Amino acid sequence: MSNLSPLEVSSARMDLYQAVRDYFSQSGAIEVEVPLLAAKTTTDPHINSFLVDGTSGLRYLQSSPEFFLKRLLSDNPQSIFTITKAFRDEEFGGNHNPEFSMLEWYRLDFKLADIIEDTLTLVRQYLGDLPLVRETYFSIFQRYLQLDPHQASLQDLQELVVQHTNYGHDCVSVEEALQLLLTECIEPQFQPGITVLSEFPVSQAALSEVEPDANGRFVAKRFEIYLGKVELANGYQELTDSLEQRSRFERDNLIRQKLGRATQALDEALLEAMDPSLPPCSGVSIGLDRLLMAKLDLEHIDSVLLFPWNKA
Amino acid sequence: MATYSTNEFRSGLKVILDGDPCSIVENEFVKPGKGQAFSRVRLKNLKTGRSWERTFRSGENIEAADVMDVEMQYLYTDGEFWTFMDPDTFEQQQADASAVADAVRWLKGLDVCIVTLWNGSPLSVLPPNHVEIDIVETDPGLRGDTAQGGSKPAKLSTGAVVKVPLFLEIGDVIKVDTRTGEYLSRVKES
Repeated sequence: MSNLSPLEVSSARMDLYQAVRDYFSQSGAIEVEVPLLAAKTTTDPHINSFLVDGTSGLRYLQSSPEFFLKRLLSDNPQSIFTITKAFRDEEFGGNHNPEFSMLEWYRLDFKLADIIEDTLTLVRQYLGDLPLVRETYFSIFQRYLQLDPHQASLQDLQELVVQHTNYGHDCVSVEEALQLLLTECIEPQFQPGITVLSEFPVSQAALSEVEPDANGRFVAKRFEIYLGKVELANGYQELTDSLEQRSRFERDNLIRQKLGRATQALDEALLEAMDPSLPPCSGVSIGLDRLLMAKLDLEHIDSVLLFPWNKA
Repeated sequence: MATYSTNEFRSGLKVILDGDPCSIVENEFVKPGKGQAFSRVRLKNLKTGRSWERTFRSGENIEAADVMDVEMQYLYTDGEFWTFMDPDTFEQQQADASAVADAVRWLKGLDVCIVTLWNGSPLSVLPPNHVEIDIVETDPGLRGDTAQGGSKPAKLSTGAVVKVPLFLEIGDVIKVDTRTGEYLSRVKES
């Protein structure tokens, strides 16, 4: 199935969205709609937002509905989901289009393990009972590189980078080296089916809580789900503490400065809504275009978009 | 200095990598979840013809290579250089042995080749897909054996050796596909 007609693709997408809506209406989450144009955007050092220069003011095309959903959740404790477009500048490729479709949801009082099961249930209901492998960041680095990613020094990592990759640089940080090794040496080994990857290094916590793992080592309560070698979902047991959230945003901006990127004003409306804290919850987002690609057994994201970037 | 960002990388773009001119064959954008993005790039080194794989930071800038392909007529060689001429401007270029490389065995006077110029000097030479060259050495032909299978080696005036059908003779002009080195047809009997 490589060349589906626009109607076939659209019909498959309609079925997917119907399946998603059925799943959430049966499990007690309410569909909400949030803006695409927002006054503030993410501080994530590796996400570039589109800036829209309107007569009504400067706005960002949303790179994720997360901040709006959390603001909602704060004042209206209720499990919610949204199906929306999200936008990330400079991201194109076989699995990336700068404008893409995202499903994001939050469940009150869910821990990381609960939201992982929730996500797996949805994905397997839609795609069928795919084989499932559960890994931690530690276990995959042990298996493929015989390395402890939580302890390794930049020097240890740099040796592996030279040995196993074609990278044209010295890595400047442990994070860069870990992400490169994950991309170049580990993800390509993932087998067909589902891989759940959890317990990320604290430096990659983003918006998740940090807790000790079984060995008493602090890890991020964050997970990703891969379909084969393709990342499908990213989720957190959400960080609820607004002060910690603010300091992570500020740290992001320091990294942005180091990378020569513009810093982003913090989303004070989010931080205020989180003050003193967000209700305990977990959340996850899924790339719907990629889920559709998996369902239809298509290799390139352009095949599920009626008007991919270079034709839009 | 002109540069290209990895976001502009596409097949055929010419860049400088480790000092050598390269052509981009394939560019794959990869991003590990929420982390830093990379560009996994396959390039062809235009000097050596070798294939390279290199991973870049996404958004990184690479120096552009001033490389262009020009149609030029092959004129002659003095053994050290091979001289080509632009049929429009009559401008001449001297290509050395490393630029001519494997094309040398197909170079026949006045044939139009594609000469790749880097900073204005020949970097590589691509002969025409089909050339017509005369046989200078081969075993005696078997007349009347035009339909049978079987082949024999024949040396051409440019130095190439190709497998030809048994009926061909010294002095015959044959058409050869330079991409495969295969005999296509007899053009003219001696």
